[in-house]
Amino acid sequence: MIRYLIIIGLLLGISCRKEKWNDRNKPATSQNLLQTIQANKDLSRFYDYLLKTGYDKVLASSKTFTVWAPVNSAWTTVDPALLNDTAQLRLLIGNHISNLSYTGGTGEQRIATLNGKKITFAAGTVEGINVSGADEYTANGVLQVIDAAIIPKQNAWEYLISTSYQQKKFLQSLAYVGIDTATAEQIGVNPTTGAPIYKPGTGEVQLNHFLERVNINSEDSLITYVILTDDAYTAEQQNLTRYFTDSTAALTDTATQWNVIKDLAFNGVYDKDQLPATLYSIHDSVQFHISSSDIISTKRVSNGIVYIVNHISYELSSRIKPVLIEGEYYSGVKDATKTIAVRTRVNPNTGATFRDVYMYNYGVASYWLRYSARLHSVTYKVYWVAVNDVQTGTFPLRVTFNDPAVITIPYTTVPLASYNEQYVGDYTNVRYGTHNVYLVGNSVTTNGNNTILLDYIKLVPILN
Amino acid sequence: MKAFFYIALAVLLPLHVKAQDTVVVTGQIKEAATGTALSGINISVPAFAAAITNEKGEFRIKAPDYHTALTVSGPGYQTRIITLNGRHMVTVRLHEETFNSIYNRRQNTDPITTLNMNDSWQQITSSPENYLQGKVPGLQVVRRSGTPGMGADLFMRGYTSLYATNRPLVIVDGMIYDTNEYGGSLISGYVSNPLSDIDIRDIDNITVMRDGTSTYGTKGANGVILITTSHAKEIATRIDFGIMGGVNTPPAKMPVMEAGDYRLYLSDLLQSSGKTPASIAALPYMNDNPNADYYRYHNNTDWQREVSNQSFNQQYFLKVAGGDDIATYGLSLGYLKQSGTIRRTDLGRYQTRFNADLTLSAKLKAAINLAFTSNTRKDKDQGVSPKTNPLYLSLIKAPFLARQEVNDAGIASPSLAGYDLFGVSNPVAVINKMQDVNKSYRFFGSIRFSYLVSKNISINTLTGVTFDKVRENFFIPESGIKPDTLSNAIAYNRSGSNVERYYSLYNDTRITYDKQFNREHHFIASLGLRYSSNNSESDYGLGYNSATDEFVSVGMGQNLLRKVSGTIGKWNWLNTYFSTDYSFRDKYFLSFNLAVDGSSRYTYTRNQYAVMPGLSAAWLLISDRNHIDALKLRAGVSRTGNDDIGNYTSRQYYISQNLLGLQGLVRANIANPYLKWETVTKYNAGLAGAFYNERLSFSVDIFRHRTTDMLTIEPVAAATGFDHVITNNSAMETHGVELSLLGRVADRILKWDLGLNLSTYRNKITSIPGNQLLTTYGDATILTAVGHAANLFYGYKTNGIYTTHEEADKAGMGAKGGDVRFVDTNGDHKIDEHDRQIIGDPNPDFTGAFTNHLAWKRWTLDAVFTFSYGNDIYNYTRASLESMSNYNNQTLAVRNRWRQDGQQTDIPRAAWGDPNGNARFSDRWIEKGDYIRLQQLSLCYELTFKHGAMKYVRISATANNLFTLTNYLGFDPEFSNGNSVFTRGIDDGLFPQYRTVQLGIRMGL
Repeated sequence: MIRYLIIIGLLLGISCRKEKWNDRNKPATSQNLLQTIQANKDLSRFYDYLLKTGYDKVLASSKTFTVWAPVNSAWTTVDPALLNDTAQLRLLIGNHISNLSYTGGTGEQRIATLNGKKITFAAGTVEGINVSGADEYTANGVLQVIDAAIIPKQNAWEYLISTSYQQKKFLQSLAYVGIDTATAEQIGVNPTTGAPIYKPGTGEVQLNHFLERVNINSEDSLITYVILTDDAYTAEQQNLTRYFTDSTAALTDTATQWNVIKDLAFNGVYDKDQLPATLYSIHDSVQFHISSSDIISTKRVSNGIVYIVNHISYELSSRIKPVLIEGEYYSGVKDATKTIAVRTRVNPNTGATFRDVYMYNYGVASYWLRYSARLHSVTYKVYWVAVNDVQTGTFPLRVTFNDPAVITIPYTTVPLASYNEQYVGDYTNVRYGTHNVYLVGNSVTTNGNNTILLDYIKLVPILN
Repeated sequence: MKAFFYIALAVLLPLHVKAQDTVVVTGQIKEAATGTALSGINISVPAFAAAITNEKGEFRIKAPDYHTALTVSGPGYQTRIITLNGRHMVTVRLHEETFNSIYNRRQNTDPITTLNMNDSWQQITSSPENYLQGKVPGLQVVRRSGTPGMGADLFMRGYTSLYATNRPLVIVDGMIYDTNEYGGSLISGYVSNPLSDIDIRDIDNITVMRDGTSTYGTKGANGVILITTSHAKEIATRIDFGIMGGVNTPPAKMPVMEAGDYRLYLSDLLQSSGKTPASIAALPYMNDNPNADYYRYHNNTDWQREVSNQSFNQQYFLKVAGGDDIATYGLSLGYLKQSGTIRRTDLGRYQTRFNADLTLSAKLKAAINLAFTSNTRKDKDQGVSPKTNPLYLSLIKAPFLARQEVNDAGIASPSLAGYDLFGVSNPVAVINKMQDVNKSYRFFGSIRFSYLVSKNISINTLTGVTFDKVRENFFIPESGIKPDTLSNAIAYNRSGSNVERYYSLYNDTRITYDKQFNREHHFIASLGLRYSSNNSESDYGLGYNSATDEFVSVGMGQNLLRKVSGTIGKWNWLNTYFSTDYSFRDKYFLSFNLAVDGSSRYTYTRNQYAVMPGLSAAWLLISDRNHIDALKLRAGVSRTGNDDIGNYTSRQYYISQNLLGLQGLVRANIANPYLKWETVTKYNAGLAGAFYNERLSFSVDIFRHRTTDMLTIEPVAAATGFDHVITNNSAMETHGVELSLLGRVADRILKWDLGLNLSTYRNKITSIPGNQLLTTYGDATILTAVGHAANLFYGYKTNGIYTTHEEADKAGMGAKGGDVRFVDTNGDHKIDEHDRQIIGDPNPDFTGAFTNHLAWKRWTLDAVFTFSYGNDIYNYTRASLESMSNYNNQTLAVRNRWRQDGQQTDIPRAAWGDPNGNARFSDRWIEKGDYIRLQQLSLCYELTFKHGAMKYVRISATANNLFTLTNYLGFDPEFSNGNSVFTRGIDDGLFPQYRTVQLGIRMGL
């Protein structure tokens, strides 16, 4: 008897651990996405396309995916050209699959699909297409059954390239070939410079100066992009050219065109009828006023929206901006052996801290500090803030451009303990570009009379 | 005191009854099983008459009256005491010698269990206390882990102390056997266990005293275990030799995820971390396209198999005993090698014992006990050591990684892979490269002289020494193992060395007076003195960042980082004791004990001596009437103490302190000169009996322990500059019931004994400063509060999970859909520490064992089932394996995690960093620890030879832990990570016990 009990006990004991875990271990579903799609008769065409494009192996792997599977009837409206070309089909099917699990419940999301495009997914709708069978869980992800195929869209750059505007031509002219050091094959080192030498033809990548500044070719963020019609483009070029006058006509033209196009992208998607009064451009925050009446064409693209406009208006002062030169950031001095102090002070009126540059008792006449600034071809009003809180006597300073010996604006006395901007004169810049700006001390060597103090210099363009 | 007076009166009154003239008693002795008459059996009335049975089993003996008791004994048969009760003729049916009735007529007035180790040779255990499991009511034996030789934690009737020891006192051959650790092991989770130095085959018997331990003064609070080693029983030379070999099979694997499921889990986890889909897809283990890392991250390794394996045991034991009229000796030699089921863990032991008895003159006798044991253990870190516990690492390690380095083409290198990009060490590197070696030896020797001054007076003196040394070395290499972070450096490789030394000189001298008056009054009194002088020292050094992994000693580490520290201890104990036992007509028994204890641990001026009295009495209600063989009632009250308060705690002392490279001394404590021993007052009442010629016997005891002056670590104001002071300001109570039942179900050729032991205890704190105390261990919080048991799990209650986001938002606790719904106890709409409740109790409702012994011709079969019911376990390992908040591999249950609004499941979502605290200490991790386990099954076959050199051959097959019925989801519901009440029931990742099957052969020459 006892032996039977023991044998029963043994059997129980062996099976016991498994049993107690079994209920906990049994997965809610063991079918993966591919099996689930295969089992759904209404997705048989999509399943066939998966097999054809090789995505079937992806959907059977042990990573999580979300699949927006169009029902069979959806494919009848799809351009057969897309379906018959394998490469195109792969792009199309890839547009229905994303990594990771997404459900519609968590608000509107932009999700990258396997072909690199992003699609907008919210509860019950994806890219405006109705989701008829939502959030079906499988062992490796979520299946969403949808009523129509999601056709991949062009992005803003692709769309721009497909047009023939002058804007496109100029942007294309900014392309150049760069070296990607990660993929380039190094074959030697330049013995004199130490720079690596790469095997020709390796690591070459097509780059574009504009796209490096604002990547409208990226699917990552949503933008509003503006394309100017050729007329608007020319008008704008004419408006701006006087501020970008350079030494040659060609340089002037390039600088002007660059400034016409560099600020035409805006973060976020703004619908035509919901355009705000002021749009701030990416990077330079130029304030644009885009009127819906100027828009002659609207194009939805995968990374936002593109408007073609025949006229554009903006705040000129936000494009031709005042130049601020901080005293402590000098790039050169007359005599490097002299002691220069950079102080951190508190403005007692506002409580704000500021840093300034301060020199005294250095025994050199007309000592100068050099700064550099990019100036437009325009007349500037010159202001400075120099807080003389160090001595009882006053001293004069002057600002000059390009050559410290040339007096463009005469010496101006710095008042005692003034925290305000002090107007010192006007300066007309004739050539657009980077210029040296000098702060010059008094032309004496007497201590206390040739003190130099500067918080900042401000150059305000006179626009009309 | 009044009670004592009445008992004394009741006992002394019958003294005046006058003895009658001599009478004659006749009778017959038969064998119980077969009914055959037994010849050559001794019958005696002690100090009066003796007789022997004839071939018909009949005898005839003189007796003082018809109320006296006969003692019946014979070779191969049990010794029985038969009360005549007025009968002129008696028939006695004797059981075999090994028959083990719970009821023992000679048993005294206190709850005491004696085990005769008849079956010790077939045991697999490497530590004798494991043998006690389930065999003694009231003694809970919890095996520590599956590490060979680590033994068990013993809890006698629950516990008596929070911070002092709860270990019973162990006395081996009359001398205190120190079972403490000095300094602690450097090997994580390892506990050195001096009891394993005693080979179970050297033990003759073990007596467990649950009460009546007052004579041991302030060391007797947790009961006493008396171990008697075997001496030569006869002068003829006997040689016993045994060889045993066994196989250990690792426990069932924990169901953790394989690579496919794990990667799905990682996808969900990383998505919750806010990583972009592109960066997740770019991770090397998510990239399924051909790339340089492909083969490194696309494997499916069963890490549990890599760290555990089947292993083998072997044991050899030789025992030679013999001698002559003047001297007898017993010499034993043993070698044991036991391997664990974690790879490269084992225990090797050489052991020798020499016991001798010398008759120096008619009055002077001497006994010598000398034992020497040497152990070498190869071990691995266990418990909470997330970087080096191979078992834990094998559970959490990503299954898609490979054991070895793999090159871009997928070819495995012979060298092992390093720690991975998740910061998890390679478990195989821990197994193969990490060293954890513990070497220990112990000399335990004593000599005892007994001098018979007169017929009634004897003097005994025993002097002995214990010398114990533990040496440990560990080295954690750089390769394959995650570096450790020190306060001022990164430790790439680590080494450690540790020496623990203990020396003790012990003396016990007593004078005993033993007298029987009128054959009715038996009186024994002893007055004695025990003295022990102890020295302990522990020194350890830790080294870091040696130049390469080949330099494994501490001295090779960087000078700047090396740490050296240690402790020393010196203490003396003087115990003066008086004990007296009185019995009248073997019917009324009275026992009084008194000890006066002095110790160097108490401040001399404040608390000089602890006085510990104890009184107990017993009354044999019925003996040999009808089918009642005996029924005995006993009761006792005693006071004992616990002196484990630290050697220097009552004094003010200084410790060294390093400040920016300068060494100095700082005050270490607030001295408490009033600090004293803990006092435990014990009340016990019991009833024991035997019926139907002892075929059914039982024993039941109820007890109540009241601990006062209990040691407390009391927080003090910050202004003192200290965190705490140690005081005697709390109190605790434990009560409980114990039951033993033994029945001989079949008593023919097939003999079947069924036994049951049941023990319960209920514990309650009666006073503690601040009314409650919170302690943490692992991630668990333990509540010690007045009116509750001392160690309750205190955490959050859960009520499923939020199945939808809407539901979670409505609750307003900041949780999201798929998060655990914690119970907001105080209704403040926020889950914080004020919402904690009692969520579990690690104390069992009852524990016990169910034993079977079958004997049929030459076969015997023993089956011991142990069980525990009603205890809760905090499954720390599962809390980590289902936390779903980090890269650790998880259990298969995690496949059912919440992933979708409205999904019905009880497993929460995967959430990086666990913002809602889903994995916090809550009832999700508290599991029922109930189990019943076939702890041992053994089958023996014995062949005896009448002729030739060989006397017998005994073949045994024994299996341990054959099966365990439990709903506990961890590896093993039986484990113990410390003797402290605060660590009970916290399963922090100790190596589990495993199944062992052993074959043994024993030969006698």
